[in-house]
Amino acid sequence: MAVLVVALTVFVLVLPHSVVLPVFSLWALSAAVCAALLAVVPLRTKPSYAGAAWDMAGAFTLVGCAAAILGEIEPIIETIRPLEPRSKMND
Amino acid sequence: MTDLSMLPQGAITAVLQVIMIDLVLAGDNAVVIGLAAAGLPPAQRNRAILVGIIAATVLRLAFAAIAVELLAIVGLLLAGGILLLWVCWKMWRELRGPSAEDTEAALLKHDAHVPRKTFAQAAWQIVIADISMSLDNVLAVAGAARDHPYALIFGLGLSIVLMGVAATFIARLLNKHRWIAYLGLAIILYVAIEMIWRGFWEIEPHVFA
Repeated sequence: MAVLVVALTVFVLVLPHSVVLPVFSLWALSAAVCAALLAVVPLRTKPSYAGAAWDMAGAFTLVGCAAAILGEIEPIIETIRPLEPRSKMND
Repeated sequence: MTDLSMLPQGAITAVLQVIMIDLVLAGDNAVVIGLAAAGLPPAQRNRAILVGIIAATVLRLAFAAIAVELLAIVGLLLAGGILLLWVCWKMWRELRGPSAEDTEAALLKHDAHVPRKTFAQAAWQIVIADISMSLDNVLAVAGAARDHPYALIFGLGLSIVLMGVAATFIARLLNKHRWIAYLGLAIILYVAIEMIWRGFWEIEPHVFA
């Protein structure tokens, strides 16, 4: 929970407001994948660690999906779009 | 390995756009599939998730093929939103009822009065929700990748993987911590209300003209 709040606060402070939620969503989904890897990779000594890691993976996924749904797509699309003219200028 | 510099810049941009759109739009499908599958016994959960992913994929392909015709239909978004609202109501009623574990325990005690969520019920809920959400998804992705069919195919593949993995994680979590399902339901309710809101403003000029 604290990790999510800290990450969201950092994104709010660093990024333009329009892309905070999509970037937070990407971060949360990546964190979910990392948590799932921790659960399946046999580094743990107790099975309860795997259970906790799966719970974290689920929680990060749910938060990531919620952030993606609540965020707007258009600012991200607009952020990606300027790549096109810039590369043409370089050519 | 594919040399990315050989790809036209427009195609790379389209792929990036499709990745972002799919991340945003596959999320609601993943939550609804996870919610519906979480009420099932473990043996049927993976089957329900598979049904949900197959249904979403087939629907997206079908809707993508007729995207232009769909755009012309007034009130489709409103109908999709209402359909999703109905799915929310069904899920709310299930959440208020006994959990899968309670049902299993009651069945072991031969208590016939405890309702049990069936695989068919979960599959039906997932398919109905997929119809509503895939409509929204296809129209958005088709707009971004109109001139780049490879981007569209890539986006479809990505959303299948994303839905499968995310729905499995969510179903696993909701089965263990049932109260979190209310949060998932709130997310789907938000999507339904947003679709109804946008759908209303779409039909408003036609109704009140």
